Amino acid sequence: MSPAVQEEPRTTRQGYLDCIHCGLCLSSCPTYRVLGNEMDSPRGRVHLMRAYDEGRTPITDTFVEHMFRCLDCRACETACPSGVRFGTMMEDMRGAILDERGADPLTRFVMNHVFPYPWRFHLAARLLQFYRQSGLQSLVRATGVLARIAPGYAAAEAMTPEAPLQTGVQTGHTYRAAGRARGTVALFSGCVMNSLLGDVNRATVALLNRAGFDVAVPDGQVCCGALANHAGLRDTARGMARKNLGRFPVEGVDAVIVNASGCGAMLAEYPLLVEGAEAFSSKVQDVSAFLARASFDDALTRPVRARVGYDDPCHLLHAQGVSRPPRDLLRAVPGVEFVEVAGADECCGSAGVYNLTHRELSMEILDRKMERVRAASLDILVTGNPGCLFQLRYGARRHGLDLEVTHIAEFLHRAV
Amino acid sequence: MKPEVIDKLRDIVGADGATDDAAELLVYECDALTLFKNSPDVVVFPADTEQVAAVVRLANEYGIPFLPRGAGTGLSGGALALEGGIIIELQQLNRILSVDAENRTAVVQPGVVNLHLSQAVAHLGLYYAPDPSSQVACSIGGNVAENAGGPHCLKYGMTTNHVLEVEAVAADGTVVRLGSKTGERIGYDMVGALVGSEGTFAIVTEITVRLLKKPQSVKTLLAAFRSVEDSSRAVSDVIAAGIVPAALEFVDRRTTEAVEASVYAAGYPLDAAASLLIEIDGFEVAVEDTQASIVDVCRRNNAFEVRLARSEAERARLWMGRKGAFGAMGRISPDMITMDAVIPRTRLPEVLTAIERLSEQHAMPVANVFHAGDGNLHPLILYDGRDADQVERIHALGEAIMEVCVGVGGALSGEHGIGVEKKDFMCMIFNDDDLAAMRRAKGVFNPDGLLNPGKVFPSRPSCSEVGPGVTRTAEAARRIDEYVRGAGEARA
Repeated sequence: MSPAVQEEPRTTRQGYLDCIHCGLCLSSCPTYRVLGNEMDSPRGRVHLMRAYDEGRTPITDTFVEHMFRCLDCRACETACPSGVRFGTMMEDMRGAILDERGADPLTRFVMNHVFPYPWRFHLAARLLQFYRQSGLQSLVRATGVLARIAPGYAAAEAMTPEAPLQTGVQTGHTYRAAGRARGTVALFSGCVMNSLLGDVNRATVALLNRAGFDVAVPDGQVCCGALANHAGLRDTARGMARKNLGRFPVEGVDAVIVNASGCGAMLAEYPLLVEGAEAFSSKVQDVSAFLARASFDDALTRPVRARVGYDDPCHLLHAQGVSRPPRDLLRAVPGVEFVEVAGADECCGSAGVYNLTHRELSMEILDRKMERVRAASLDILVTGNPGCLFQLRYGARRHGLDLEVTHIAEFLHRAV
Repeated sequence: MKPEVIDKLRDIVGADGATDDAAELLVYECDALTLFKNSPDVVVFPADTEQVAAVVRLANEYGIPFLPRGAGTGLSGGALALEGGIIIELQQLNRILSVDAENRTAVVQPGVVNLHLSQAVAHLGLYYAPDPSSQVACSIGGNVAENAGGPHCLKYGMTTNHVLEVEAVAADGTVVRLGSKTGERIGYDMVGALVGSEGTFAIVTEITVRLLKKPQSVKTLLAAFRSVEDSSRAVSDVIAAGIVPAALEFVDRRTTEAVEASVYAAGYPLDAAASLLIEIDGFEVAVEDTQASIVDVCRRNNAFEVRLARSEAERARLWMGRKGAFGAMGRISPDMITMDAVIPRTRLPEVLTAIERLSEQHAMPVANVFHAGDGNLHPLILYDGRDADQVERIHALGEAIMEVCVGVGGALSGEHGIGVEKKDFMCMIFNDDDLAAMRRAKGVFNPDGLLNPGKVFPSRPSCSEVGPGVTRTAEAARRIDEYVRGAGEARA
């Protein structure tokens, strides 16, 4: 006998009915660990969602503040014995907030008019590159002029990635494995990845080819929609999902490979946004998990002599449940002294654009992480998501660490 | 609440250290006992003992009720602001102040998470023994208030056995230091009085705890049984054999189903009516000996599987399942109330049968997962809080279960406290004179009753007004026979 009152099917947000209020999620939550208050804990946010649906509180400024202060890292899902799907509930709640209050114009503009169009994103990235290469960046940083006229923008400026703009992989092209291929995979090339981290995309293709797979990079693919979805712009995300679903072949590919875990989590959850996406989503795999399953450790023969640590991207660990494969691969590289960094499973505070929208809290979360990274005395810190990569690189600069932060595909490429 | 009070509170704890925002207060309307809710008027987040004391003095000045709160994982409503007022949230006081490895003690602030202390001293080969199931989240301050237990308290004792000294803010705002760093309770045993006083005597702001050395060897066994009776007999036989396991836990079928469907899936056999999780620790030689005896006892009581955890990872998995069990109930029910009662171990089979009968009578499912070794039951009543009729029925069922437990010579609470949940049940065990003695003790510590009002004592001054009294539990004892007999007939 189940005590639940029978009623019409639940809404996404009613996942709160699974929450028994035990509190086991509390100390897994990055904002609760820093702020120590219930309204910035998963349990508190779930409580507020339920209270809103039951008409016990309207959407107030503080309500909005606590909903958007969540990093959407989903560490609470890994801790939850009841299986509350917190991430999707939060995205749904944010959607409801935007329905009632509207998004701020800048977010709406960027999400609706930049991310869905690869060429516009590239243009933005090119502008960033021009800014850096023209010497304007050095001038701005040296004079501190931005800090005086617009401190908020100065903070954002300080975090712009140092990475030079790199040409990534070509969409519409299939990169062939040498010799007879074991199979074919499709690569999701991403927006940030292919503009700012092009070498990671190229390394990913090289590894997959080396593992014996042809790599097709479908033409016309766009941003996965994760940033829009996290912000509550579900229709925008849905539009991007539809576009990508129309572009990716499902038949004839062994897997859809993603090397940005935020995107991977989004692609795997397309069925929550669009009907009929299951066949596509079931093929989505992170590059590390795919390579580990393909026994890629045998190909890792070139020594890399270094003390290496790994930092779990939240959307790989908590949203996709991948934690061992990347570690196994790193351990398999000859010469690598693998170090388990304390708190590797905790969020770095990047969380998409969180480090821009909630800079202070993001920095406090980052500082806690960097203290433990420092204690591990690493040469190289490896991760698997562009946002984390930029944030951790910034963290290393901020803390004056002599530390290389790199993507796992790029690192493994050195060992083949 | 008067705006001037809020202003004065902000003068003490800073502008960000207090909130009276309606939405924010809402999340403080209950702890892990969600059956009862009431919003405080304000929540403050003091940063040190002095701020706690100043808030308490201000509350006294204005005659406002106040109470401490830790992580809000309590199961008896100890952190419920029953009469509104000020919640003093101690989560900012979350530092481990010092560790004395040689003397095996640590000084911690009340907001330190129970498990974090053990993690912080693990490299010294030490740990903090009391291990409530919520230890990943619950605070040591809350453990002290409730005299929390946990699976390993069977061998190592409750929180009170591990607290050496406390600094506390008394109900009038004075700061006192009680006990001693070496653990001698000089003069009156004031630490003993404070631990388990459910936040009604004082607010603890610093705690010196005993740490233990990790045992040389630890073994964890899982024994699965086809009947609850067999498993209960195994429990009694283990203890009767003179064995003191580090922990001896009981998990029933309904709980197993929920756990196995969760992220804490532990590999408990789904076809077992009940499983026992048995842990033994100590010197290696002794442990191996004991292990053999336990396996023997389980086999003799018809265990169809006895499994030894082969690795540390497997051991951890078995325990994670047990500790995530309460929370996992969310998978099969929107709401749940965790009861807490103690019975003599020897009466386990008949009490479990009686509970099953009552569950059927009231048409409310009950799951059982508990500390069998010390007879500390945790019947979990599953319900849907949106259905008023179900809410009515759980009150009746809860009371009936409690009567059964008390009727066989048990106690109202093993480790969760009385709080608001069971205050009216106090009359099942104590008469008006007993309760008056306890009220006088409270009056000494908390003369104006402003500190955490409405807890522990029955809602009416006299048990005759409350209803169920000592005589009724004697009646319940007689009824247990009927339940057991009835259940037997139903099965036949």
